[in-house]
Amino acid sequence: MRILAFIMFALLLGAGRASAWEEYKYLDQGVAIQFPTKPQATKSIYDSVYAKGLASMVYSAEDDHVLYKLTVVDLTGRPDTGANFLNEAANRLQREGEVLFTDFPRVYQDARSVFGVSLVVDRTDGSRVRTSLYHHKGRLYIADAIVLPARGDKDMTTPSRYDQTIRFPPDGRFD
Amino acid sequence: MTRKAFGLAGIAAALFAAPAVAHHAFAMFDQSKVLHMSGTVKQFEFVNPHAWLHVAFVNDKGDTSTWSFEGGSPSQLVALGWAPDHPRVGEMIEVGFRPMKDGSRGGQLMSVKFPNGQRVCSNRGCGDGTGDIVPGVYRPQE
Repeated sequence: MRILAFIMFALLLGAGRASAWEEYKYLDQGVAIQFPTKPQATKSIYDSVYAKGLASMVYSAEDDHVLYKLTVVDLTGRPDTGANFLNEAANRLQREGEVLFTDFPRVYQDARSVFGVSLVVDRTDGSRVRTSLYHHKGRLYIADAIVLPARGDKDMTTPSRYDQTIRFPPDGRFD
Repeated sequence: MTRKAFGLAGIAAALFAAPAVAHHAFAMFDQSKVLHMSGTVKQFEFVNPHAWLHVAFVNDKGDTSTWSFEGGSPSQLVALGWAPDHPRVGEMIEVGFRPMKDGSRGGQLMSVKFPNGQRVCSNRGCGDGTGDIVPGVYRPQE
């Protein structure tokens, strides 16, 4: 009986902590990421200097005047231009305001590593955006955490929490 | 009975640890320094893949601000003396952390010192050359 109680405790400890942040898995998009509230999914198009009207999906949620948004752009059939799409997106972002910070994050380790680029930009509209960009298996992933002007406090840490939760399934499945 | 108990406990521990993969780099934290600040625990999220400790600090002017610190996974932290209520909300603590490179209010959680002098450290040591390194769980299929 005590053993059963211990197992139940361990399971609850691992799975049940009350946190607003939950992971959402998008198997068809090859990605999972956490949002503080349930995100909305919207079909969209993505324009680049290389191609117009690329199919994309946008998953977004707003919490406490911070907009969390993951954009997944389908780059099927463009295997040689992934780096250019990624750098183009970074280039666009740095033009939106003052670049406060640049980093090159890594998801996973060793041979499984997926490297990207992160920028924190104070935009001219008063918002601060922290964006992490990854190109992986034919898709461009853009994870934005936008601290809206109404939030006031821009030095909060939660924007960095958002992009740190992204993960990709190397073999097409998560579990 | 003891062997059975350990076996079942092992299964439970494995289930507990399964989602607890530290999957990203820690390059966003300034690894060259450890800062210490004293404040009041506002929230402790003992969640996977990383625990988050939110602490309210009061500066010299009397202004309060919340700082957030990212720790290891619960399965790593329990082995080092942490628990869902340790630290607990409302408790005064001293936090040791590697600050965010982007200047935002937070960092990598390295240690917590309690009023009674007890200190618990992160799965990557205490930041001062002491402490244990507790590796994460590697899942090849992930």
